[in-house]
Amino acid sequence: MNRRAFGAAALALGLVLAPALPAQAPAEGERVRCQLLSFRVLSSIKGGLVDPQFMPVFREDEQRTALHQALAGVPVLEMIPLGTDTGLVARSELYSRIAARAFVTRADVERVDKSLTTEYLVSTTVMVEFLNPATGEVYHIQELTGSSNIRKDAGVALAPLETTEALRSTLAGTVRELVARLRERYRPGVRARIVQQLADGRLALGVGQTGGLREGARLEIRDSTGQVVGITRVEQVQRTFAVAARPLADAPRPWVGLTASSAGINRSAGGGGFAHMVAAVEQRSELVQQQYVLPQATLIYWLHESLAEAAPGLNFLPPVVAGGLATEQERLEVTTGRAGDIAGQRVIPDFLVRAAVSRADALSEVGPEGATYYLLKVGLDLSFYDVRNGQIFYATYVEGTQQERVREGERELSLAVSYRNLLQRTLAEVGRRVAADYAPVVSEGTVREVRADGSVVLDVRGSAQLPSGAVVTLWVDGEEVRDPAGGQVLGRVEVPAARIRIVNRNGAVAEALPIGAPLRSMAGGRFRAPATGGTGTARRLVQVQRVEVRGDIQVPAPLLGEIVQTALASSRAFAVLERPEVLGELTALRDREFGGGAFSSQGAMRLLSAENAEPALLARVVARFLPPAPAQEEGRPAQSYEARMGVSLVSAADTARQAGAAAQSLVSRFPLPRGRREVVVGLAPQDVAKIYAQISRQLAVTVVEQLSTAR
Amino acid sequence: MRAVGRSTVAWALPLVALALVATPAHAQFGRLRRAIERVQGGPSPEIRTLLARIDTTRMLFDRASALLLRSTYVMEASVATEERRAAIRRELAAVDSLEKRGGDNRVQLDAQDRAVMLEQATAQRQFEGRKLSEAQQRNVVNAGYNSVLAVLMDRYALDEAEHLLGEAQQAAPNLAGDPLQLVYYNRIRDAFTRDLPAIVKAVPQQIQLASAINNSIQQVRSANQAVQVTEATARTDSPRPIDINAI
Repeated sequence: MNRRAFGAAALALGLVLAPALPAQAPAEGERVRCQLLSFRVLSSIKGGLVDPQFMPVFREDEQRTALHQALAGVPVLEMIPLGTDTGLVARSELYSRIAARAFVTRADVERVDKSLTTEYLVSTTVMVEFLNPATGEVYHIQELTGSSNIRKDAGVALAPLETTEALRSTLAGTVRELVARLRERYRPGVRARIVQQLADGRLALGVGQTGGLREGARLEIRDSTGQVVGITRVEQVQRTFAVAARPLADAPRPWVGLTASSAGINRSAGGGGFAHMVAAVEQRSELVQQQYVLPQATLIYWLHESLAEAAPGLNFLPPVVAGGLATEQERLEVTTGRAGDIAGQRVIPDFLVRAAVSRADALSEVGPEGATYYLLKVGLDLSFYDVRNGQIFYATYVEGTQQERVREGERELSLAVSYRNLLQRTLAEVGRRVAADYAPVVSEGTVREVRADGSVVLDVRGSAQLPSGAVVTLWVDGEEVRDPAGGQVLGRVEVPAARIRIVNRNGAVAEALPIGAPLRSMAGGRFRAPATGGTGTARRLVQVQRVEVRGDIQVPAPLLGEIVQTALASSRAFAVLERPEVLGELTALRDREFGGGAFSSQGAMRLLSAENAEPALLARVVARFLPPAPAQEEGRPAQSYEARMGVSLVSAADTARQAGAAAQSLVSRFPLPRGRREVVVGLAPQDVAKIYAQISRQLAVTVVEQLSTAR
Repeated sequence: MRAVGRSTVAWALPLVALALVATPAHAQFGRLRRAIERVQGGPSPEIRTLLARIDTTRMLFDRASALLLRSTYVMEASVATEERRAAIRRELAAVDSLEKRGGDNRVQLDAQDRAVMLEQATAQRQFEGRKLSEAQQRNVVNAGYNSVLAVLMDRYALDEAEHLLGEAQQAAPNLAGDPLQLVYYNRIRDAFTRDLPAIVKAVPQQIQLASAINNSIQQVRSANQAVQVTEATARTDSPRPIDINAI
């Protein structure tokens, strides 16, 4: 089993052969001055996963200098010399200044006993965070785990000196490769000319480099001397211009002609398409063995990095936890006088990513020659959902396994490091699967008719799926924006007219009902919303409302709900809304992370489009898992597992009205281990629950198929 | 007489097999003929037959040893990685040098060591999952045939050696007093004091080696399949619709 072929070997090769990329000569003004604040080992109490043997390797001053030199080779960064007194910085210099901090978040050695050799997988993870040191706003994070492989004769231990040297060289290689990737992924700095102040005080920003602008981006407005005279936040991005909030300023002043900029926002992540952000990675305590529980921030960074690496087109913004490490560590404050106003605000993604480690465990058994074999398993549930309405656009489950062998009487095995490596490989597999399967599209349409009863008839373009129950914002034309230089019309500011909920769709025509009273006339309104691809019958938005597990064997209800939800989302018959508790968290997250601060009112207005969708159907899941029974399988003793699962759909408007039901039973027989292999870890209740969770995944798919054909 | 008759019949299988597969047949028949011609002039027909049987037994044992050695090389190459092969070579070289000093038990120690090392490498290989080249696959098939042949030859040689030991011990005193027969006496004495006991002692080791080779071949044949030590694979029936209220 070439379980380490992926990642470790490729990365090790990459470390050795790290290519020297041709230097790109940046255009004047694209370089950003960057100060490397620190390069430290993240301590274990803050989530660091560092082997004590690594500590003598890491001398902060040396490593910081090495990282500084590496970053100096990145064309878009102008590194400020390390010895420079940064306390007295000219204000004119601040406009193009960001800070970087780096951490070694992981450094360990995994011993792998192969058949004829013993190999040592030496891994180091380095994370660099580019941030605004005054506000904590994180512009970009780049993380990489580098590994190198040391092969010894079977059973031969690694000498302390060899360990030290391996860790040192792996760290150096990781830093080198990290910086090489940084060149491709991070293009700091956006700048836009203020072309008009709108009647409501907001600012229209000219096209300039607005390619890098996204909603929520915080910009500083500077005068001709480079002095910060105001702060604003982008509220909407249109084709030829962007609209930013009324600026925060000490005194009223004319704004047109000044420049709004951010030194550190990533232009690459601000390109076309949708933006994404990893919001959470839970660990289901019932099915994750305690020794495998990792800090959540670590998991979030790993998932972020896997997805950003595998699918760069998905524009992954720094995850919600970004900056969390910074608050724990020493923080350098560069006074701008505005720090408190914008703390906690972020660029707003289109989609949030939520994941859960649904299993992490090891089974062990004694093999034919007395060696003990450990079979590690990790499973991840993953969903991508719309930040504005909570609709799931993609859901999947990915499982990874790894086998470890310990020769008889040879050593005590610690699986913690093996688990980390397995988890990172599984996350990389998640990235690959997402890159292959996930493709949200845009659904656009216009209002054809506003009926007397207030309902709206829409013309929908394209083949995107807009499910019944989806919520979209109708926009109408507002104030005209002109370029002050030539007087040409750049367009009209789009203003929200109403939020509407799709109730029915038939081909290119959809009917919708407004949510609350419309702010403006809906006539001539248009919408533009993310949607899933595909044609055919309109899908109905369904939400898993209730999960009931009957009997003594308890598969955790949230996990079962997630399993059914993934099956529904993967079917072609339904669109899925996140569960009520996740939607509650989403509302809080929107308020906490994307609103807040002095911009809260404008942010709230902008995010008025953030209103959770409402399901057309509610799914109620009921399941029973029978105690395992002895059975025979091809003449061998086996254990028989029977799972029963039913899903009933009811109308969300009238829960007494059933819209469909399906129920199935599935029997699986697992042969017991042969006599010569002794199962070291017996089947605890959790293990039975794990087996039933796996069976449920299979069963949920067929139950949903039955549901969709019965509609 | 019974022994001679049985041995005549029993020669046929290994000799035919030898002619068909393992080694140049004409060389073997040549040696056999020359050996028979050498004794034709001198000793009595009984002694001549005895000497011929001793020669044949020794020759078959040597041939079986050679076949097994070659099969071992093939299997070591198929089973072990480069490093492991180098390690095996080093260890065997050490054994060789030891045995050269020790003398006659070289053959059996060699076989024993090779069997042990091949067994180890085989046991470990099932978790390695290394793919074999086409040439290696062909060699493995040949090694399988050769090792089966070697076992047949070894078993024959063992059977013959056990009988010949007694016959040679009985015949030796009759020759001891005749100076013309001294050369034949010396050959028979060498046979029952050195060669035949060595064969009797070594053949079980060689059979063990052949068994190790065959086990190894079985492993190699299934080598490209998934690792065996995994969670039990479940047999799942098709889902059966049920009444939701029955849950």
